[in-house]
Amino acid sequence: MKRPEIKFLFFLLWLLTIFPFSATSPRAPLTEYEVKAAYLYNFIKFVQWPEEAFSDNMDPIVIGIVGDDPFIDKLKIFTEQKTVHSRHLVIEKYEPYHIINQCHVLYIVSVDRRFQVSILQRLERKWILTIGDAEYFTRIGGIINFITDEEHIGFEINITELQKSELVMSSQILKLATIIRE
Amino acid sequence: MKQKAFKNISIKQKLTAIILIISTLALLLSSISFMVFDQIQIKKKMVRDLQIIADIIGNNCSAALLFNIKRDAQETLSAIRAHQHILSASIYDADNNLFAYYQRSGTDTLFLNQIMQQSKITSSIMEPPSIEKNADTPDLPAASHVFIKDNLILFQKIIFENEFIGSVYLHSDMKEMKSRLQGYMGIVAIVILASFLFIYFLTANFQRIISNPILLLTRTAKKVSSDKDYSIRASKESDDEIGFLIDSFNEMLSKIEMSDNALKHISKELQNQTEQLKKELKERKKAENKIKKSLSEKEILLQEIHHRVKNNLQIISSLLKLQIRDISDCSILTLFQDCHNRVKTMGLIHEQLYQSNDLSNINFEEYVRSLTSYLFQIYRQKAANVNIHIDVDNTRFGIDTAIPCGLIINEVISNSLKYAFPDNKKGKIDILLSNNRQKTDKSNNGHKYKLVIRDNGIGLPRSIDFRTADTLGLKLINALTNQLHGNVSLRRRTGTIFTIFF
Repeated sequence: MKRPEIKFLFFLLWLLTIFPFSATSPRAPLTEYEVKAAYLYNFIKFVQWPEEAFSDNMDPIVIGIVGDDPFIDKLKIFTEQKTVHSRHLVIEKYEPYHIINQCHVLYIVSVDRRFQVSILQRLERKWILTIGDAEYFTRIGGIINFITDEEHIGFEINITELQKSELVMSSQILKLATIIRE
Repeated sequence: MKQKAFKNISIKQKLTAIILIISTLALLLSSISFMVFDQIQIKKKMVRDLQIIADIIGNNCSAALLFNIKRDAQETLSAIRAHQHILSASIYDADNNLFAYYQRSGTDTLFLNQIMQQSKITSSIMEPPSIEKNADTPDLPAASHVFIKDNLILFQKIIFENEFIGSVYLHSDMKEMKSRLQGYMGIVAIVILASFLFIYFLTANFQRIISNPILLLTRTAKKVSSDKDYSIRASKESDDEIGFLIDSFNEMLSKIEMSDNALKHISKELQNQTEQLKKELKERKKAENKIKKSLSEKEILLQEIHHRVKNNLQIISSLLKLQIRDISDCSILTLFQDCHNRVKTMGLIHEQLYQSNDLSNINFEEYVRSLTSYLFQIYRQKAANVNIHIDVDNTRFGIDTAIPCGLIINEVISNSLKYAFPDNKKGKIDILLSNNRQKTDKSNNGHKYKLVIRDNGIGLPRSIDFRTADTLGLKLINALTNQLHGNVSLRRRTGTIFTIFF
């Protein structure tokens, strides 16, 4: 065995000694919903809304959720008492038939394609970051779509739809995402 | 020793040495302080640069951290390769779990670990995560750094949207600073050497401003002391302390010159006076010699006179003697004999006088002895049984005293020998002369001498009062005593005692 390798082993051992708690972390693995809730919260941080999207400085960022889902409870844990871009976060639950024009972020949980298309077509205002949970979501006019593969949750972004919505998204997010142009 | 050696070198060298030492020291000091300041600035800059890098990494990795995509963070960290001085870098997530790690190829891992262990920052980073996952960790500063053994270790929190999402750790070496320091040292050495030479050349020129007047003054002082010329003056070139020194020096010189001139004048005067005195002395000696000559001439003359007087008196005496032989009448014979005696008495004095050393005094004792022996010779038949006792202190008399004295003695002794001892009677005659000078006897009446002539013969007849006597002998005694300004008394208890004070 070569010397550098021994050293590297030592280094690993040392890392173990200085990270005893991280190595034996008691925290249970996060569920898919928890991860998605965290991701949704984090997306808001990387997106800039135009000023017209808010009536005043105190106007909160409204997160709209369509579809009955346990996700809302998880999201509430993340968003309670939090501010992003100096604005509070408000969660609104919508039914599929509602006219949705008050929110800034819209998460469409339902996997029914028809519903999704009709909701997206019925959106009366721009500046809504639409997030979906279906393979085709970005092809029917959605901006962000979660992709789940082998325990890792990734996401794809439709750049054309993003530009249409006049939202500004950090390149850091784009760097991490699978980019789709349609 | 070194101090003494420095004290003894010339002012010129001292000035040069002092200026060189001071300027080199000042240069060295300013260079060192500049270097120290530069070091501090470089360190600050290094920290700042490293902070910027940490910021960039943090910004670029925030999304990766939030979405837990390690690959992306690793890629971002790899970009550090461009910074040669960064030995290692790590990113930790909010729970202080290692998220991404970078190590420059060829870096000693063990060494990195040692450094890491020594840094307090890292150990504080490595503390167990707080239970609240997303809560800020207020006990840790947003950024901190530490220098360990030429290594800079920097830690910085990654804050995104007011949330602590992880931390960046950077480990940089300080080779850049070291090489910069070495470069500075080289430059400083060159600058000091160059300025040393430059200052040396400048000093060689400028030190003359101070040293030249002093050298000039020294030269003048040497010239003054070697030539003994006090009229030389040092020239003044400036109005500073040296100028004042030169002024004082010149003033001193002029004072010395003045006193020197005065001294010369006095010594000249003294010489003149000495010469005059010598002249006078010579003249005096001449005069003295003249006096001596004339004195000896006079002495010879005086001797001659005394001799002639004696000879004449001798002739008279011889004539009287011849006459005496032809006299048959007894009373006439006595008269002649008396006359003869008196002449002889005077002749004896003159004889003694010209034989004496000083021609003015005679030894009175010697005279009395020769006189009495003569008288005893003349009256040998009558005085066969008479003894004479003479007690005259070693007295010397001048001719004015000796002649009356001699004549008095002659008269008294002749009288005694003729009449005091009839029929060859035994007897004694005393002649006593004492000096009364020391005695303060009032009876002396201020007289110096006391002459006593006595015999123990039959004595003068009662009928004769010697003051009013008709005989020539007694008359002479009175007259001669008067001539001596003295007085005479006569006692006739046992024989005859004449006492004369004079």
